[in-house]
Amino acid sequence: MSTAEALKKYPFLFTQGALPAGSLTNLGELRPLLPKALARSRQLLGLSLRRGLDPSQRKYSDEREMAALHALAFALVTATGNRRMIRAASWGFSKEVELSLMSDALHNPRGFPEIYIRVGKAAGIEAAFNWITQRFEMSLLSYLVLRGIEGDPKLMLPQLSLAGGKVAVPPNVFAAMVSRVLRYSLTMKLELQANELRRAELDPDVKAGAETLASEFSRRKGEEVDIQTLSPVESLFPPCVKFWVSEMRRGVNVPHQARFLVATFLLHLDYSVDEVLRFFSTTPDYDEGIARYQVEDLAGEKGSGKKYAVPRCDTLRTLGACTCREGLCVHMTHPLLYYRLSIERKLNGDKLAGSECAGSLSRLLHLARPRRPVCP
Amino acid sequence: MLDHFRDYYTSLDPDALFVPDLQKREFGFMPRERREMIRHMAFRDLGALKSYLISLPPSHVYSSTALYERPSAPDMNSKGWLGSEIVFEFDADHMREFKGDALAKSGILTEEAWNAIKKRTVELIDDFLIQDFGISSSEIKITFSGNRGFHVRVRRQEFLGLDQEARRRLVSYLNASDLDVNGLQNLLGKAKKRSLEVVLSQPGWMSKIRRQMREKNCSLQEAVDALALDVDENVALDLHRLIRHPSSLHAGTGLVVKPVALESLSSFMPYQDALVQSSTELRVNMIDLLPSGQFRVGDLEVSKTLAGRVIRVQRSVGIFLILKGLARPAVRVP
Repeated sequence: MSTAEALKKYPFLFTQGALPAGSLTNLGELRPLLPKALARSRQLLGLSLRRGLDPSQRKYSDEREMAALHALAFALVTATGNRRMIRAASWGFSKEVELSLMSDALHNPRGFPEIYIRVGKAAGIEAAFNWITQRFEMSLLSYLVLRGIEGDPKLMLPQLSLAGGKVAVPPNVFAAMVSRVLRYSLTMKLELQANELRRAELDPDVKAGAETLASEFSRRKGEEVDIQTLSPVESLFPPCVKFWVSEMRRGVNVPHQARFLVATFLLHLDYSVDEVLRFFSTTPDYDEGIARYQVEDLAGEKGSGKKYAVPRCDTLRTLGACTCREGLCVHMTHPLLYYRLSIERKLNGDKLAGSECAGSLSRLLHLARPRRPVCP
Repeated sequence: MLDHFRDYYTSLDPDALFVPDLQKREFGFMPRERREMIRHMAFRDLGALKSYLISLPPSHVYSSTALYERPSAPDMNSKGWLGSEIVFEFDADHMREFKGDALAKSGILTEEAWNAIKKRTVELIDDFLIQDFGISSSEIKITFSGNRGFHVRVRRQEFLGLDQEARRRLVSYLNASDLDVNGLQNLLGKAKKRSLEVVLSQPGWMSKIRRQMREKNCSLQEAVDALALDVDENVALDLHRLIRHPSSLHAGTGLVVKPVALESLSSFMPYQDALVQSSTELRVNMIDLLPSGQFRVGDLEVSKTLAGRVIRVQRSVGIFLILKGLARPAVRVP
């Protein structure tokens, strides 16, 4: 695959979503690209019907322009400063990459392994193709250090072929793996950029473009968590607890780690077992007998007799149950500490107490929430 | 008790206390009477460690699985973490086989129970660590914990720097907690026999399941339940864990935290082989309410028939019984 071909399909091989040279404070020669970049951003955010590169947009004057357009499209999203939009764009892009990889495997049976390996390498996955088994192979260590694959059962180690410290995966699983890893690394990178951009004086055209995107996104995608529905006390809960409580109230089957967090947190606030059970009663698999036993066990009333501690923030991050890394949460080590500080802020008349990540909680957790496997 | 500990450490060859990178490890000690850990200690060599152990009252002795630039720094953030060995712990109180076992609950394990734990430990090493993870046997060290299980320590250079998420994936693999049983059940339910065969033929968990289902003629869920290990996640994920130092004495049993070679694990009997050998004897008064079941410690067969009796036993056996609450030191009537 030539550089030009690779760049067309996998522009991140060269840019990794980096901001174009000269930054967004002064677009300079990139200004003519802005309309195309806006259209591309809308595609990535799922605001235009068609996903993937529009054929008309492949008529670039040169490779540099393609790379710049790609970077500018992401830069516009980061300029909104909206984490939910950043995640949506990363998700949209990673899906495109996965579909492109799948299409390569279908239409280029001899050449696709080279493309996969190259794209995988750009995403940080070191792998080789075994022509006999028709699988991509990587060392166990290479697999273990991958980030972003959590929550997808087909990418978890027990589902994969593992022998002698070598992990082997079929092409479709490898494509999914690349997609998840890219999504994760891109999200992290863009969030970092968004933080930096908050302090920058943006070019007026960029600012206007970002505002247009943000308002359209908000209009089309809505806000899934309305903190106004929470009681005054609940509104001071840490964002992670608020998020999972609201998910449970929507009838979402939330992961075990999230249930553990909510239950232990409420129990430490001296909620009774019955009061805690009320929070869980809207989950789709609710069984009062089982839930009561488990909550009583957590409360130290059954089983070992030990009251379970609320997990620390770093544990929640590891387990994928952390949902917010901004505001007060940046400095937090424990959900109970957040709650205590929020109460103090509220008592001191701070109207923003407990508002971290509020209103943009819906799509924060591609990584934490198990998703349905993607059909090719 | 003090004599038991002091005599043991005095006669101990310092080399028995060897762990790689001793100087980079944090040590912790918990005197039996204090219930409060003395932490952030480091030793320059085995001789210094041995001398300190001799001077201590009977204590639990721990060393870190982590290596640090400054192991004695009082603040964890300033220690300079260099990496951590991975330790898998098999302890009777975490294993589903022993849930509800009265004797196990009281902290005593019968020969059958020990055989079950050893079988699980061998499975961990042979079927998972060596066969699946590709770790060589020379990179694996087994230690009897001194009480109710074994520590399996993996020291592979490139694994030292793994973070908690990477370790969680390893433990989830061993415990099958990331295994998508529902996905496999769906394949079974839809009678997609060929798809299922293809899936189950791949090395790792899938082939283990297939073998188990064929050999034991059992269901998918039964196969998974039988194969999944009960490795303690808290231990394996903790990057700063202090675990019992090899060849130290467990202050709750008086037994040696004994390194065991893989090839001799199956014949290792903790209540025989981890006793401190000594010619000194001790008179103990067995309690009236001994737990049901019987077990052997040293040459002594402990069962309800001994309830309330005063017996003379080897000192390490007597200390084990006293520390386990099964006996009291016998008082001579003048």
